[in-house]
Amino acid sequence: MFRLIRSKPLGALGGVLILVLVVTALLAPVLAPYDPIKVNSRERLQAPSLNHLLGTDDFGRDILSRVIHGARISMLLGLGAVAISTLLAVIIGIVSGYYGGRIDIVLQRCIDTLMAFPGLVVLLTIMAMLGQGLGNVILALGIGGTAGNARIIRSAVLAVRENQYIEVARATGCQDWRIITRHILPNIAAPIMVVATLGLGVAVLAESALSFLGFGVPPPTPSWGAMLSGSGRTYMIQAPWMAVFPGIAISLAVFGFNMLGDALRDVLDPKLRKGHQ
Amino acid sequence: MSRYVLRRLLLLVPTLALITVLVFSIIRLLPGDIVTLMMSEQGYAGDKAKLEQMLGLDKPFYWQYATYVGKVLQGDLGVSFWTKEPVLDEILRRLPVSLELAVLAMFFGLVIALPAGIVSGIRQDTWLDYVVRSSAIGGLSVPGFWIATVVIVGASIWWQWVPPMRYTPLTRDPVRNLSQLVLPAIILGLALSASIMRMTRSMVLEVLREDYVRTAWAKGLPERLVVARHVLKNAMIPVVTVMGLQLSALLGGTVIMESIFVLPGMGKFLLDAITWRDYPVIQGINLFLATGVILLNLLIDLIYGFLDPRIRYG
Amino acid sequence: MRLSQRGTSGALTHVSRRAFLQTGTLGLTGLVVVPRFASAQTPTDAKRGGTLVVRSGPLRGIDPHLETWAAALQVIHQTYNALLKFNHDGTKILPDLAESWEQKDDLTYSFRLRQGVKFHNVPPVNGRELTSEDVKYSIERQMTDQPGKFQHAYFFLGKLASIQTPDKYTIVFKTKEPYAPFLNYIANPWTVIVAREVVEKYGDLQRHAIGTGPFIMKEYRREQEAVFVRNPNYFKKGLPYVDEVHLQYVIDPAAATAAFRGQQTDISLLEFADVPSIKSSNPKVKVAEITTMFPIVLRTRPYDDQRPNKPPFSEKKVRQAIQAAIKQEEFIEIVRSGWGATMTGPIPTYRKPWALPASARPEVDLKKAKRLLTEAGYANGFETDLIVGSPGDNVKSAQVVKDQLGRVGIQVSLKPMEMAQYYNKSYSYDYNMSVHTALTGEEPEEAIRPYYGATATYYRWGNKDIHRLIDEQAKVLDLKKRVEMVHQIQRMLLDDVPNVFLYTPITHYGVQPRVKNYTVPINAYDQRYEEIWLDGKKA
Repeated sequence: MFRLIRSKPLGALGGVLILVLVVTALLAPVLAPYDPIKVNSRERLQAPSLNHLLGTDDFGRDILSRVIHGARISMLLGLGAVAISTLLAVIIGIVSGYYGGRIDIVLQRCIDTLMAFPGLVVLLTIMAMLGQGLGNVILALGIGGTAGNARIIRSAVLAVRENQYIEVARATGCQDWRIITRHILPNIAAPIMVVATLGLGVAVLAESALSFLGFGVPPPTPSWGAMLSGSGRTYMIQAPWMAVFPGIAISLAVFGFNMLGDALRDVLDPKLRKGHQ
Repeated sequence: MSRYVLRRLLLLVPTLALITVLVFSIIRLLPGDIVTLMMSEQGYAGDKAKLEQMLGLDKPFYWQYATYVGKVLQGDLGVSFWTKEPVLDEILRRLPVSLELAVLAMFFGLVIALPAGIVSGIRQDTWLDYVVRSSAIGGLSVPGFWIATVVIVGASIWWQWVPPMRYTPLTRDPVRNLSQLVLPAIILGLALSASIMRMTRSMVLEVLREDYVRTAWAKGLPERLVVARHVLKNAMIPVVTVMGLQLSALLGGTVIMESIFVLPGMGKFLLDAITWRDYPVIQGINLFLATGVILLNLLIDLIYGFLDPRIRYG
Repeated sequence: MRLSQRGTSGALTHVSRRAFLQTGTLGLTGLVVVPRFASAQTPTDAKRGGTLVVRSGPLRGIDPHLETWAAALQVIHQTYNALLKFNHDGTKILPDLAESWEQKDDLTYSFRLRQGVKFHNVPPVNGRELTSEDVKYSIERQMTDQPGKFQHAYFFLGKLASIQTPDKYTIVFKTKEPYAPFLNYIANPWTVIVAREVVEKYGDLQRHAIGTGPFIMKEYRREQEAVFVRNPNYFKKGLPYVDEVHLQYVIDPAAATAAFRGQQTDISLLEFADVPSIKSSNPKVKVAEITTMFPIVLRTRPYDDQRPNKPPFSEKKVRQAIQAAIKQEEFIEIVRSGWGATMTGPIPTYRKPWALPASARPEVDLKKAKRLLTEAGYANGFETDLIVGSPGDNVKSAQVVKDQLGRVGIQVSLKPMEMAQYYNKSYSYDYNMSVHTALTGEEPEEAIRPYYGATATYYRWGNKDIHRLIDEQAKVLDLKKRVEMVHQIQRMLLDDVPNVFLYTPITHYGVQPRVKNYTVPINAYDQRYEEIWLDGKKA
């Protein structure tokens, strides 16, 4: 274990960051010193002080508490979106890759169709259809992330399918269902994990882009994206702490997800194992 | 080979049909239809039926779709509901902006990512590798609109400099044009560079594991050049794939940069069209983008075949 | 007399923001903030030439009779004129195309047009002279019903008995009954004179602006920019001074402020948070503080004969409870950092004598609110939702509403929605509560009739007593009596509480030092640049 960490320090760093994120998210109500939603007009726009370690925003809300609760929102967003997109991508990818033939062609056309639309626009259209709200944002992010992931899963399934083992199993009349669950799934677990981890970072960034355009998580829910793109920008000169801290939080989280994902890919993909150098 | 190309081009038709039907239906399902919107914009309690008729929305779905396809085949993408300008003209006016931005972004992305990926791959697991990779991922981790805001505001305060707010085409005034586009291009390029760098790095690693390559590398400079060329050639394949994917994302997905830097590109055009339920414009842009993307994918596959002789198209 | 450079910012420093809140009225202070208007005499040091760049609002349709986006006025005022116009703070009516006018009796108004006013020398009008026929055509067009009803038709629809043109330069209006708002509506920024040929050629004026104004429209790109060049045949000799006017729509406030700081725009709306840094980086910049004509209101459920009201909002005591729980100052503090004025009714407080005095403002009384709720049968409060257009400041106001109403047990769930959706819901009159930006005008009934009158379109309120009074006040020509009636209506509105008035924002307009002879008007979109000259390079 230690050797693993030493050989992949960046990945380990990513892992630590994510661990911190997860713990913060889980323990948010305990860790946060103040209520993140309560409006307190007397304490507006205060610079960081002992009372409010990261300062207050224009509603008088403690920024540290909002960042901490924002971790929870980001985790919800990320996990929810990734769960949806991975599930859909795995289903589509397996059906497409395993069964091949006409189903594959049709599904691939559909994927191509989806990928022909710019990602942000797909998200916005889904949000326009569903209306605003945290759940809808998660749904939109999940659906939006499906297409690309489906392609990756499909390639992985294709690679595994050529495996001799599978050929034998099919020849001996093993049921498709068993083959899929016992042979294919475990072998594509690696790309699934990588895709999921990276997808978490994408989800957090995408939410901040949606917030900028006014379609993100609605207030007063403390999402980092909303804090960064909304009042954070308005008061950028007067009260930079309003945006700096959520910005750092987003960056660290996305950085962590990416580093972890990259390290996972390096470790799990046999092709990339370090050679005899 | 040409049969392959022909087959791909023929597949274009059903794919486009699928796309257009999809878009046609979805936008009509968006809550808040354009008729109500137009009427509330211009005063409520007007004559709804007459407005519907003017917009051609009183006919059944298949009739609307058939007429639309018929017109498209004649090169007429319809007129915008709001501005009454021909959709094709509006798209062609904005296409150069988006295209230029996309190309510049990819240029900067490559400029950052290729050297980073190569260095990172060659010096795998050294401090240099870590620093380079961290910087690349770091560039991707900070939301683009935030970088843009800080840069614009900072530059305006400290150096009294702002990128021009009014778009001038490249042909008319290259300096002004580039000074407006260079910042958003770099910011977009930063986001792109991470994935390109990853690709390049893994390609480099894969190539470097070959015994003969390592031997050649160890031998010294002239051989190293050979290795470098070999690495680059192999790295091109996935890089080209990624770039192809990014281009389509870029063409319509630059909404945020266009908003901040006041660029009349396709991204914001599409967003406005969706916001104001301008059906012909949404349909036109999607058709355009989809066609472009599919043709682009075809082009990339052909380049694949060119770069990697192992790939054969039947 | 001309506008001195010190004018705007000099006056400002004496009036602190706190003063706005305490006095609660903008009345006198409003006039101090916006300095004296320059006369039409040609100053001797006016310089010709240059391009004026202005940050505009969203540029959508520009048909003066059809459009509702106030930003369209920025385009309209460059290319059209009206019979009359308001001065910069809306207190006086001045001649524009009409050189004189008189009210002959209760029902008759006669205008004498200037002679030799030419339309732009652009097809299809090709520089022909403006006559009384054009005036008649324009006013009649404004009153016509078409798919997508003319938003400002209510100015004259059903009120005019006839429009006569006894000769080329004379117009006589006869109203059906005494109509007090008549002159105000004639002078209204939207009541400009258009040319029949343009309407007949293009169907509508949404994308073409050909009139008699100081500038000719060269380019117009929706949601982007509009470019104008000087009209060489403008009837005011010597005007305009600048060669070109360029309206640029910059959607991102941070980018817009940076552009102003970098001197890429000459006149620009600014975010209040950016003003201190702008003033410190360039002390010569003038920043005007304008109390806008667009107050923010909290609306309760609309109703009329076709759509009856529903509980809990059908209970007057519930609505009064809501009003008693709302504290205006908190909105101004939180949403605008103090840059806002409190309200005493639908008419902004600077509009004397029409606005109610400060004493009329409903008191904040949480106990009373709870008591009223209990009396109405909602001792434990209730749950409801609130729609608001996003993005924008109103989303912040919505949060404050939620917080304040929560203190008396009313649980509000916020439903922000994209603007298109919001307007749809708003105009289908199907919502429980909403936070909305209302429109007011120089004419007091503009803040009342389109919202609470019998033929209201922006909102629907079925209180027939209020309908009746609104119809009555329009017929009262005696100023004092009419003021009393308008006050009466407002008091009824404060009692019946269709809406709770939250605050009137104070916005900032930056003007670069090289822009001379310009006063930012209170109707911030009613901007006219014909008297501006540019002195000095972009420093």
